[in-house]
Amino acid sequence: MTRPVDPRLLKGTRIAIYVSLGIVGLVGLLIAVIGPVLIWNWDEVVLELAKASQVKDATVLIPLAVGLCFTVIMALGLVWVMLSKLLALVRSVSEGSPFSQINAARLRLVGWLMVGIQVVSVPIALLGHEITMAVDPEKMVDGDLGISLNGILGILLVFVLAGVFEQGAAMREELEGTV
Amino acid sequence: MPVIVKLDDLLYQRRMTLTELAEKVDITLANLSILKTGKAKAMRFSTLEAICDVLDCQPGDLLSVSKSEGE
Repeated sequence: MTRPVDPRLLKGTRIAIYVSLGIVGLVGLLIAVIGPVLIWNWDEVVLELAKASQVKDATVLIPLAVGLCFTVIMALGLVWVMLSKLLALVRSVSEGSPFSQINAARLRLVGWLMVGIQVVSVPIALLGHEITMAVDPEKMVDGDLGISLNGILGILLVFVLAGVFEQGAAMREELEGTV
Repeated sequence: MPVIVKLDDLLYQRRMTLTELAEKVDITLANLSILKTGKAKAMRFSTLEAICDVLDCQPGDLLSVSKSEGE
C-alpha cells in the first residue's frame, strides 16, 4: 500500500511556488516599467551617473542597459513558465494522479526551461559585468558566467525524473487494465 | 487480442448475471465488464481463482488463445 504525500508538504510547496510566482511577476513588472522610463529619460540618468560614479560617457551604457532589461525579462518569463508547470505538477500530486504522461511532458519542459535559464544567465552575467566595469572599473568583479554546476545537476535530475514519470505512467496504465 | 475471455459463455451456461458474479467474487462490476469485453490487459491469479471458484470451472474454461489473430 502506498502512502499518500503529506498534504502539509504539498500545501507548503504550493504556497512557495505562489510566492515565487508573485516575486517573479513583481520584478518583471518593475523592470518592464522602470527600464523604459530610465531609457526615455536617459539624459538625466547620464547626468546623475556622471555625478555618482566614474563613468565618463554614460551613453555607452544604453545598449547594455537595454540588453540587460531584455534578457532579465526573458529569464523571468522562463522562470514564470517553469513555476507554472511545477504548480500544475504539484496540483496533480494533490489530486492523487502524479504518474501521467502529461506530468512527464511537464517535467521534460521544466528541464528544457532550466536549460534556457542557464543559457540566458550567460548574457545577463556578461552585461552585468560590463555595466559594473563601465560604472566603476576599480570594483572587483568575479568572472562568473552565471552557469552553475548545481544548475546543470538539477537539469539532469529533472530529465531523469521525467523518464521516471513516463515509466510510472506506463505502469499505471497497465495496472489500470489489470483485473 | 490473442487471449479470449469466455466469461459471457460461462455466465450464460450458469444462468448468472455479471452483477451476481461481481457480488460473489467481490470484484467491481466495472472491472468485470472490462474483463468480459476483452479490454483487460492482465488478470490477477486471485481474480482467476475467485471466478473459477464461483463458476465452478477451470482457467482453461474461462480463457483461450486465438491462434489465428495472434499469428
